[in-house]
Amino acid sequence: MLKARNLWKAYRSRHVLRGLGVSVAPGEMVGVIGPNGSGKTTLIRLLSGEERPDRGTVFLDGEPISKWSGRERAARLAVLPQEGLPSVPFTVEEVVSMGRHPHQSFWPWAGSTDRESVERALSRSGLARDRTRRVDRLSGGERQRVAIAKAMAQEPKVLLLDEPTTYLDIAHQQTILDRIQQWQREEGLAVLVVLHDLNLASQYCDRLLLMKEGARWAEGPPEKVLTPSRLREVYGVEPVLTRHPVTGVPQVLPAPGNQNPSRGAGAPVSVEL
Amino acid sequence: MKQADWLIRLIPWTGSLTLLLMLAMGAAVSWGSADLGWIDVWRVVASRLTGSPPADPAADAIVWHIRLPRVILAAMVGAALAGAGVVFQGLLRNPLADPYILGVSSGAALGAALAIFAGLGVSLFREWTVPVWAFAFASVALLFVLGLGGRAMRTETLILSGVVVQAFFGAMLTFVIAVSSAEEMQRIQYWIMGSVALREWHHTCAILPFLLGGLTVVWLMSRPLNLFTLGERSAGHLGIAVRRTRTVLLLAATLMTSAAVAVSGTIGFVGLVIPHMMRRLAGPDHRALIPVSVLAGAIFLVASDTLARMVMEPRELPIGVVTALVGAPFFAWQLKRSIRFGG
Repeated sequence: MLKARNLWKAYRSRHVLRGLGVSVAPGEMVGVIGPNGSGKTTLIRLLSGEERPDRGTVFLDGEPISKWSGRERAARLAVLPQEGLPSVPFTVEEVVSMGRHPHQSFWPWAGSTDRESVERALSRSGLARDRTRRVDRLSGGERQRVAIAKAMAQEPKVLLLDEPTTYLDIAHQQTILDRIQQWQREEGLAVLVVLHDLNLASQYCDRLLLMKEGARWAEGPPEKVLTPSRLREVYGVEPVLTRHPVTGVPQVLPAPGNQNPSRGAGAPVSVEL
Repeated sequence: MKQADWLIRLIPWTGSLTLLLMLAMGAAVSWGSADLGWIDVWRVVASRLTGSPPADPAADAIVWHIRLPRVILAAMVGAALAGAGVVFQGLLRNPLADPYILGVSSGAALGAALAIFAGLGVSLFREWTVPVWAFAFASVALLFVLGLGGRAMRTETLILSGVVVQAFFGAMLTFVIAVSSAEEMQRIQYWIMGSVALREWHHTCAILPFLLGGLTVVWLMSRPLNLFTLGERSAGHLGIAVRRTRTVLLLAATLMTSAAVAVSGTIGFVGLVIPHMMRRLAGPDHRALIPVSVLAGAIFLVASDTLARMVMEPRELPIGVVTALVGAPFFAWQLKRSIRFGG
């Protein structure tokens, strides 16, 4: 559905991406992890067609992404940027309706036939009762739900998310990712999500792409990617790895310096349950 | 099931504001120093509209050649400034953006002054000379502001870049005034303060196409303008050609501003006060907000001009004085709010 080959990108001669390739299939959730400055956000910008790579190509729906017009692209691919929704005086329903833009004609009065999609997006994201509330009076977590509902109304085949849970509390983190996962499974959506939180990434993603300095360091299912040696190589720390007591996926716990018996010894700690 | 909120807001508000505008214009034409009754005034208008010879040539001259062009011009200038204000505010995502505060008006004023008093390019542009030069200089001023302030403007940046641009173009304008003759100097001074006095039908005709053209473009792009309030990146993700849309909207708003400045000088704060008030009435959706603000701007300026004529009769105040008396305190209040909320 979305595929990128050999992406290179430099800003002022500093290479941010070095020959990165990635692909996301329908119904799959791919997590992109890596330390700050490893090029994750740049990857999102290139995959969304917002910027062009210096070298390499992004393919969306089988065509190079630059072949699509803005509208055609937006009808296939939605993006949730890191900043989330700004504080606008529009109502929830109005903002969700804005997601219909790529499917509407040029005229200002277009869009009265899009009610159904908007309604579905509202009810699926649990916002039907909040439709008349103003977005600038919502909390950060609620706003993020509106942003997702807007993306749902857009009816894309691919969804790109740039750290959608960074500023949210644990309840909202879980709700947001649950909603996206449900959407991905029900409609065969292809999802690529940049996550800082390795545990959430491990929990929700089918496949992880671990980046270091603009290139792929490791890729595969969470168990294969989240290993002590890889994390040490990429992040330069030696965390404790354990398994999620319920789902069994790998979970990463920080090991504070003064309490880590292996510190300095170079041996990562891994607990197998 | 409600189909479209914006239509529900648009229709009653445009309806009632159109009615109010008609009333305001009727009142403005009827009130004035020459002792004319309402009936005399409307008799003149009726005779002109039906093409029959005027019953009273003096009344005809006053109403048809002095008051009516002035009132209609005031309405058009108010409409243009309010429309431009809505667009600037939407695009820059800042409720304090206004052609006057951004310095676009002072750019237009310099262009217009050069055209009026140096007569550059008259053979080429004829009756459009002043608006064309105003537009050229206003665009330069806007480029400066955007170059200084960047895309999504924080309030401080917006005001500071506006100040810098105004200072520069203001100085150039002062220079033009300084090198003109004493008689011209007084005319320019009065014109800079903003006035629709002594305007004739050809002034009205000179700005009408710019106003109508600009408004049509802006309203047709009102839905993309809504998406811009979510941020330029989000607008792009929704399929908007961000650069092209932004450029077209900015040019249209600048064009409307320039047309207004070309005939009436710099009248401040209309583009600030009116969109803000109308957002409360008609909501933030630009499909309703633009027409409603345009009508309200027209009413506001007709009323301000009437006040400017009447307050110190028989002397006249420049209309810019009246709008600033209303607008500046309003601006201060908004500024305070925007700083408190980290706008």
